[in-house]
Amino acid sequence: MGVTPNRGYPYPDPSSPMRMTKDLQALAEAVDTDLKAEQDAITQRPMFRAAGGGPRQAYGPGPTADVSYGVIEANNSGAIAGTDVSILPRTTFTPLIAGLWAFTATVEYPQWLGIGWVKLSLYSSSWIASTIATEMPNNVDGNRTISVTGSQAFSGPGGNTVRAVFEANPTGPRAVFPMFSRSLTGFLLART
Amino acid sequence: MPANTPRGISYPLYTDPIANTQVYFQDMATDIDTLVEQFSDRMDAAAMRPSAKASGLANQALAPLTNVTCIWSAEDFDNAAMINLGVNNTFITLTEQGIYIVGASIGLSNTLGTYGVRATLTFSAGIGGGTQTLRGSSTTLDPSPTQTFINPLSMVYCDGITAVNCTVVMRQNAAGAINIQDRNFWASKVSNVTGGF
Repeated sequence: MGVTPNRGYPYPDPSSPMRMTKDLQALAEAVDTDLKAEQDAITQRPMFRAAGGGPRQAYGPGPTADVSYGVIEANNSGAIAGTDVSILPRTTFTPLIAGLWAFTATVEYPQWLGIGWVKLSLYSSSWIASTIATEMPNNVDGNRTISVTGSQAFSGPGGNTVRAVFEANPTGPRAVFPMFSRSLTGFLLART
Repeated sequence: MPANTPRGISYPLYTDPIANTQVYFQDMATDIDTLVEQFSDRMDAAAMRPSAKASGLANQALAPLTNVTCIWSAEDFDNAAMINLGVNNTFITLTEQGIYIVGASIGLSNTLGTYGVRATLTFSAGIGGGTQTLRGSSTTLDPSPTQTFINPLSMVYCDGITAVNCTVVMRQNAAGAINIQDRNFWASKVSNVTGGF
């Protein structure tokens, strides 16, 4: 009995006794199993989206605050798993598919008296991207949302995490300042 | 004499000698093997969309009213030979046909006064670029942030014939030089994806 070079499909070689029906069945089943595996690999692009959930997040003592998420709104194709989805709220996530990922983080913030600027950053083992807003909301225009988008390479399970970090200029009693809606969206741009 | 299906899978005809059945069987299995392997390779290629990311940390001076092209010192990701820092440390080069999303995140030191800073994604072969312009931070804030950030993002088409060299060009109009600091630059093909991840 021989096997094909790439996929390992069985066939009777000239030295094997020919058992037509069994050999045909073995080939058909091998092809069927292999195509099923290939078909199953066609899935949605790995992505996840975490949101703040119901409670607002207090900024805390600063000077920075890791943004916290209480709800996993989407998690496709094994993007994240384990404690990243079972222990919430949390601030870090490990993308499980090795490759280049893109991320967008958002934070909604109200008027904070005495605050002149806010910054939202994405970090992994190193800095990914940051955005600064230098004009604050007032009593008239209500809350504002700051967002940041960036890209980073990840090695998969056991590798680096991604997190969003909020920062305001160091003035005033920051601990009472709230962050409202928060989101972190990540998706795989390309596999390694 | 065996015949072939339209995709090249051989099969014996009714008139072929039964003594050669094992040969026909092997030929058929090998043909199917080749086709499935091609299918699998295309799925892998779709998952490994041409993508690259470069980064830099060392300060790079940005003099007033001068175009400065960002220099990259590390190749963080490259699955399609799009970065070659030894040959050119300012490019991400697109070669495979398709639409690419291209982005950068640039951190800049601050300086006195109010000024503007601009980051432009430039694409060779006469293809238009993407620009983000930002008002720089001033010292009226309490205290000023230690850095200003700018994040241009754009899309570009590569025809697969002429390579597209992508760069990030900075310009500012402060009273003195500021530094380009932490910086990331990335590109990823987002079209012509046949399936898979």
